[in-house]
Amino acid sequence: MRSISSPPVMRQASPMAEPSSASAPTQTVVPCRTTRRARHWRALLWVAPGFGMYAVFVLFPMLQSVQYSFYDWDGIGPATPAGLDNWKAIFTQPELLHSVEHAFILIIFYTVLPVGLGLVAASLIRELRPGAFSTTARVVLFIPQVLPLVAAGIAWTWMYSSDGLVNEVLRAVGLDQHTRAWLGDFTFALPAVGVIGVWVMLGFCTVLLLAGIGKIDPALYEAARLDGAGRISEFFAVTLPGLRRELVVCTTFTMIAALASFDVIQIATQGGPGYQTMVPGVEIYRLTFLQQHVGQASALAVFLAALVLVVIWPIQRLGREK
Amino acid sequence: MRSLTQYRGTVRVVAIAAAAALLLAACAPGGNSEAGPGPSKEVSTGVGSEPVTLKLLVNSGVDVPFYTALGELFHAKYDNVTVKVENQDYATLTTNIAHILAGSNVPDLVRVSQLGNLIKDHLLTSLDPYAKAYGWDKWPQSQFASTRVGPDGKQRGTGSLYAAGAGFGLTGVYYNKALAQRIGMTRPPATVAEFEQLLARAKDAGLQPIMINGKDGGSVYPLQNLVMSSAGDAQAVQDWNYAKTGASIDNAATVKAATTLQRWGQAGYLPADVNDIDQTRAPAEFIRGNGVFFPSGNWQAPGLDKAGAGQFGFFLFPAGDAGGPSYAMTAAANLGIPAKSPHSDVAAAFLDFVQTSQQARQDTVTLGGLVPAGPADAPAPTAPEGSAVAATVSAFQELLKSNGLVGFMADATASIHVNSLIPQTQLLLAGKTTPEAYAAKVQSDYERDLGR
Amino acid sequence: MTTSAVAHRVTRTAILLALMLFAIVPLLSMFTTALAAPGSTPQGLSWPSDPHWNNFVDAWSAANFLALFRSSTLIVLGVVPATVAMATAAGYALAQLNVPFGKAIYGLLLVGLTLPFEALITPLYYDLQSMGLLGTRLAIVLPLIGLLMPFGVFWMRAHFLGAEQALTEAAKVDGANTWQTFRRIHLPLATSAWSALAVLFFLASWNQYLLPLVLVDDPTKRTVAGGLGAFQGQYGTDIVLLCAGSLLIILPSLVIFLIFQRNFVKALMQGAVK
Repeated sequence: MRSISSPPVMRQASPMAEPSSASAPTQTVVPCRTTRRARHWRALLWVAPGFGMYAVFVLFPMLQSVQYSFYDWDGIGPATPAGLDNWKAIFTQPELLHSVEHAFILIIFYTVLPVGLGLVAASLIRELRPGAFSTTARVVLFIPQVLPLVAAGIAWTWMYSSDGLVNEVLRAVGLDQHTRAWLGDFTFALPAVGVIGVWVMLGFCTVLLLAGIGKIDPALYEAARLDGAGRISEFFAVTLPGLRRELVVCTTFTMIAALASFDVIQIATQGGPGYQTMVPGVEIYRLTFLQQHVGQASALAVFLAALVLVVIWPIQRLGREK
Repeated sequence: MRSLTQYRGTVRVVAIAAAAALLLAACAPGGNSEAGPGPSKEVSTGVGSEPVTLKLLVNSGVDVPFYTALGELFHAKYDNVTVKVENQDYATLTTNIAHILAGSNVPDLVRVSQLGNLIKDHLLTSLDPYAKAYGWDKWPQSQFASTRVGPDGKQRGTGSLYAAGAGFGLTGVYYNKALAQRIGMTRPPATVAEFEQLLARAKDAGLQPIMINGKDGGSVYPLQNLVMSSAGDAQAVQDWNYAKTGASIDNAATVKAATTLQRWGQAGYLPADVNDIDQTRAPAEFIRGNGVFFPSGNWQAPGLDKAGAGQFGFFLFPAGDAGGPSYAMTAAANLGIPAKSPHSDVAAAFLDFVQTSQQARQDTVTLGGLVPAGPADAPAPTAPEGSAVAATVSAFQELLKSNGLVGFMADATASIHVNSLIPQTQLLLAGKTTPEAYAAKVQSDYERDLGR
Repeated sequence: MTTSAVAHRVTRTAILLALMLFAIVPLLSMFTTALAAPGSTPQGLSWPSDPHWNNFVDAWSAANFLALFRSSTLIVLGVVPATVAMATAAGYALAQLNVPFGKAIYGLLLVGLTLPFEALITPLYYDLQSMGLLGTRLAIVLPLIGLLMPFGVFWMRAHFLGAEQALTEAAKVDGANTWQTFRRIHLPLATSAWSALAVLFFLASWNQYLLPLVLVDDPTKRTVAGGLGAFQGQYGTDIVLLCAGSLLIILPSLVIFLIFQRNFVKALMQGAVK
């Protein structure tokens, strides 16, 4: 528990606690104009290496993606202009459209459930006295987050297989008729992949929300108790409003992970059965390398990037209000 | 993060970026269209005396011990050549092959399943000069048809030779002899209808009629066989495989085949979790007695013989009508020489060696389960009487005479297998698409792949 | 204690235990499977009567574990110090110095916070190819530095915005130049911020899968996660060996997490966004 109450400096390092734009760069009073300008331009040197790497390996490729999206190119031979064909295909080819749909369904599993369960877990852990159990709970819940997603995919593929643990448990409790190959089932494959997302994200959300709860003024809880609030109303009156910024960070992070999922799907289902678990990330990879439709892949990639921005924007706004 | 919205400047920045992108769009990406194949250089049939490491890139699994053994044989003959076998799983290799061959770290020989754009992009060396130098052009030429590619880089079956292999795959149906006896099968079914009766009897006897891997495309084999059986002819499929102009499988034969396969699925002839069974679990289940029939290829034969010698038989997929032609899918275990390989002469010598050396041909059968390629008068390798391997070898000879060997639809384009045939067949078996929609969708994906 | 309070405690413990079980069971299932007879298909979670510890030895060589570990370490060493240094410098300048076009630069960086890696992977492939870096570890290191930069700058800038203004003024009075002010005053105070960042970047590099998958063919030149993906492709059929190998491969991250769990959790609580 101790590590949860972060020192004040740390708190300021938190993105949630970033001072508003009012804290503009320092207005230093420098008497001599020329020195000031020289120093002013020299400041660019500090930014140059980091921004340079970012420009070369992120900004420039992003622009290239935009460029590629207007071409028909197999990635090796010459390219021919394709106009808006690649863009139209995103909205007319059912597989591409479905992959985007699936990404949104995954938000339920990557975001809604972990945040919900994380709130429950964090409120319960808060009530515990600091000690072995509370530390263990936090550490154990967090473990899935530090493992490579590839490992999560492998572990759960085995859990869901015909001989795996999920079916073994069902058989043990007499639900034999409900056993199935979960990842090969048209109805359950996508939710099954989603549960892997819950597994990975739950610890992250719990710990972050727990940190947020630690920052809530204890006096608020006391006041609520004096008002005769029960555990439930205390949660809605004090805990939830106090966690707004943490909730925004949790939601943002997990939504990006849901919309841009790749590792788990590539390992566990490769998009199958049928196109049931196909997501934009896997589709982009396949379009580029297997199908060699680099233009189509790039259009989908730019679309995905824009989609993430559009989804994240209102949530960020929500976090800023009041 | 939250300060994203604080920056109205961001909007301006994005606008500038978009403008820059438009400027960038003025110059096209991609290679030079003039970059054709290099002038054909002198080829040599020798391997020289310099020490050479020949890098082979093959699929994970049975390929590895097989090509390692062939490499050791080759090294025993030419001790300055060391063969190094590297492997990637099938899906990864087929996905990345074009980029591996275009990259800076190319192998000297690579297992090519689909030629896709490899020829159009000049990534493989033409084997024509070697075929002439080694006299391959005097062997039965049908074995090379599927890896000949025309000047447009797409149409196959004609043109220059780009790959050759140690042996041939062959599909058919394995059966568990004991279980087949239990359902009263005295001889292999002669027609699809007869086969279907056997399936019904197996079902009634409480047995799993067919074991098959639907996860990675095993269920596409019976589908293609059914297409050819119901058409009574394989020309349309072969044209389709070879990308002949106007080729189409959006026809009555495909619809009928898809209807039959879907019916088999609904009748419980296929495993309930068919779409989750992969190519290693299917034979394992079949060996365990889960399944009377197992439609697959000769590459499974050594494993089946090892698990239970004499217990498993093999027959060719039955014809549509009694006395009609039988067909099987075949493909050479093709190896190509990447255009960037610095050891093309040595690689070609290896290709010649695996097709002609008696020991290599024996390994091709015993380890690879494949029917060896090569000259017509080459000594035939031996396989024990009654083994599954022997049954596949004799079936191959039979089809060679009747002209019943057809390529895999899965190899028609680079992505038709992974992107269309596998998912569409899964949808079909789950009742989520109709036979008509199936035929139309596979055809339209095919045309998109070929840029038609 | 009232019965309802007891009931509440019991429910609370039960819920927490259930969630913990959910988190740990897939790993336990892998562990018992890894001890089953080689080549067999064991049940989901059952302690084998005859544990085959030797499976881990087989998996050690099959996964080429040492090469993979060495490769990941090299990649992490290439990414983390450079990224942390550049991000610290840029974050400091954007917070404390009057950088020309500072707002525009920062705005551009913020866009990068949300960009999915997949959106960049295709052009990155061709760019690295033309640089002749494809297939080398630099093909993972260089793009990763760029991709992690937005978060790093964002993180460090937020820290330096909170730094005491009085300190800077005091240093100026002493005649210190910008570099001296940064080096003597601000950097020491930022230790916890940049070290937390280093921890997060370590995980992000160590667990990176997409970049190595696409940019490096040779599994022994990839990250641990990339190598694990290849291992699954090659041995996915042998569930016992796959589980043993996967456990070996994730063991370092697990051990490092358990040793530094306080710092990990602390780092995260300071506001991980990506």
